[in-house]
Amino acid sequence: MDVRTKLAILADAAKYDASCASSGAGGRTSGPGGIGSTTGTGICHSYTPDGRCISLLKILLTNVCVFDCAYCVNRRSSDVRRARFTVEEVVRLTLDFYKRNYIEGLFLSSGIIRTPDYTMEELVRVARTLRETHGFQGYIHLKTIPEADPVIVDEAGRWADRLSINVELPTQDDLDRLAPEKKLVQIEGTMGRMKRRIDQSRWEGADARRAREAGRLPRFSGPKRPGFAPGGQSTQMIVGATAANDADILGRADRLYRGPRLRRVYYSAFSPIPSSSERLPLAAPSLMREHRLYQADWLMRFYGFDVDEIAPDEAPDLDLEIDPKLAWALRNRHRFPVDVNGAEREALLRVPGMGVRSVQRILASRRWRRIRLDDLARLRIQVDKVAPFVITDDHNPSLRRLDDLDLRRRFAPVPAQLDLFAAATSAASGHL
Amino acid sequence: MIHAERVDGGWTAWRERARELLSRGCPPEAVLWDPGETEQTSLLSAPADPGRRPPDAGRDAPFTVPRSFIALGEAVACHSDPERWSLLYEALWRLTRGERHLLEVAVDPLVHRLRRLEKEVRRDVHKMRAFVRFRRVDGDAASAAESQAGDADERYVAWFEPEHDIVERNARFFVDRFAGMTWSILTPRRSLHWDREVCWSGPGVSRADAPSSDALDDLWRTYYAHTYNPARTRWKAMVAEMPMKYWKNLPEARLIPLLVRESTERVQGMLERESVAGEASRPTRSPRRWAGPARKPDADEGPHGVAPWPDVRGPHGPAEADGCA
Repeated sequence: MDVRTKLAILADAAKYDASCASSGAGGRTSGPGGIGSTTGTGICHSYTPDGRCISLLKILLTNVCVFDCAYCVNRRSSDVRRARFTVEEVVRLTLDFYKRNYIEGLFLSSGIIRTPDYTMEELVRVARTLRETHGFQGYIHLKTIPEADPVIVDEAGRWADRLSINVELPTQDDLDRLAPEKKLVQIEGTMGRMKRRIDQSRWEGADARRAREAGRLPRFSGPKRPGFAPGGQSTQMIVGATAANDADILGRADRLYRGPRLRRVYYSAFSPIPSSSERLPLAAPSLMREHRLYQADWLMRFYGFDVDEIAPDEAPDLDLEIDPKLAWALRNRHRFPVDVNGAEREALLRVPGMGVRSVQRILASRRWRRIRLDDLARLRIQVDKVAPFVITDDHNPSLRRLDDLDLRRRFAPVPAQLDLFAAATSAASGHL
Repeated sequence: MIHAERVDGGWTAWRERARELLSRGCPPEAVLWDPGETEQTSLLSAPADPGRRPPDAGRDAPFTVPRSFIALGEAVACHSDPERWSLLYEALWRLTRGERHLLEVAVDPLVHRLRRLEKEVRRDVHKMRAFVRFRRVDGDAASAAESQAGDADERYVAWFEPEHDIVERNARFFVDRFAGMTWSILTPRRSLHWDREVCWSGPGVSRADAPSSDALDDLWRTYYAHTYNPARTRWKAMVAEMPMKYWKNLPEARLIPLLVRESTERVQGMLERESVAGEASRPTRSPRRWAGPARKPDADEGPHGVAPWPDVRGPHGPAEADGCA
């Protein structure tokens, strides 16, 4: 089998992993004669028509797998075509693509072959060859196999910028049903251990930096060697493959952000995959639900919201028609209107239609002058969206407006617009 | 009296002119700025960073400006907007006449406009880093893909068409990343060269002077086609981040129309095969998941009538580059 055929099979097999981030590695340069750098924020080098970016060469080492997870296209019982790259092939492909500026680096995962230890060792060997033999300074994201020996996982962290384990489903019950080999306790245990290694490496890095500054260590020369997974950890949950509600999913994400301090949780609407298992629902992926989960995730990470504010017991599933911040505001009308010229940052962040950057600019601007509605427009805030919720120098929404039970209808899309969210498939097929 | 000021040489030249006008007390409305030509400058090999204040500038400088204005000005100076110099001068005038905090007032119309220009330059810089495609030009193309990674004589050439004068702003980035390769980036306005030791810029060239393909492009297109998930098509999200003006220089872009056309057929086929195979044993669709009826394509969709999906990102503002993730 030639490299092109393998690439086709093993890119197909890897694409259901939503992560494409090349961020968090800090700044690193290639140094004389070397190749590769990282910029801190990452770069998207292309976009496919599914709206996703291509930042990393995202492939599996092999799609042969001893596990039988129902949602996975590569499960043991699937009749998908199998392939396996050699370590050298992956190294060559990564360097060749990188030198043409197609990619930021490599995201390598694998089906479990022989044993978890053997598979993890193969992944590590790719990363080590890139770093040691070729001096590659670009981004490397390795999938971690929770069942593998911690010593091998430790080595993975030495070469990789980011490590990830996908929890896949929010509860052990879900896993028992669809991925009987996966144990949440084991996954979270490995995540916790990796977190401690990441923290330790960060402290050591800071110590060394201080020592260099104080002249106790020689100044750094040559390219920077990455610490233990400086880009941290991420994970992914599949949405819509089980009956888990959004509160379950967000609750699990929140736990992972707080405990092992994950950098990112990805949500992936379950895609119809070739030869999917019959334990799964037959439906087009709910991309709108996925979108709302990402919005809720942002609210937890950057806007100071708690899970039970976004997905409270009485409404454990996110509203598909309006965004979760607006939904929260409509449930909490007594918190509004908010005075743009006087309210604290936390209160401003909770106004539907105001982003983190806008709030920052309002706070800086209002030290020097009073804010009016057209000032908000200049900050690219949608004035008609925020108007019912804010007081500005020239505007005070009537309380009647805020109590108006119609407020929700005003923001929810009109029925015709719901079609916008139709799956490509149903749009094409034309049947209800 | 109106002063006509021609700016040849970009930010450094403008600074000299502006400094002089300011010391003579010329108000913004009395100056007519002519964009002029930006000069070629030597790049990373040059001893003085052109962004820093020239050594003699302090002598007759009766004023200082916040550091943030320098950063803003250096970026705005690259913009192709012919009003950039007058906008910068107006800001400088106000900064030195009692509004030292001006740049903090994001809602001020002038600041707002300057920040927008800065943002457009930053985006252009970023898109260049993303969409430059190097083509290997040493040896014959057929053997290029086979040769050892890390060859000492690897030579690459790229063609790119930036919107603003940002090529030199990006020199550091490309040198830091591709130090071990010999390369040139050619653009209509200027070109950038790196021989593994020195980086320099030269005149612009025409597109015909740049190689149009690489032996690896086919393998890259294979990857592009297979990493794409046909079950989800979001035309708008794609063109927002990768506007069509870039497509002609991206080897993978020629696949897009084909992939989009095929995708609806592929997913439909997949669902139909599955439903014939095992409809009875499956749970029924919950109404909550129901996506809605079919409809006619809108004018603002992609050319193939694909329903635009909402973009997957945070509630407000762009996600990290990451945000696609």
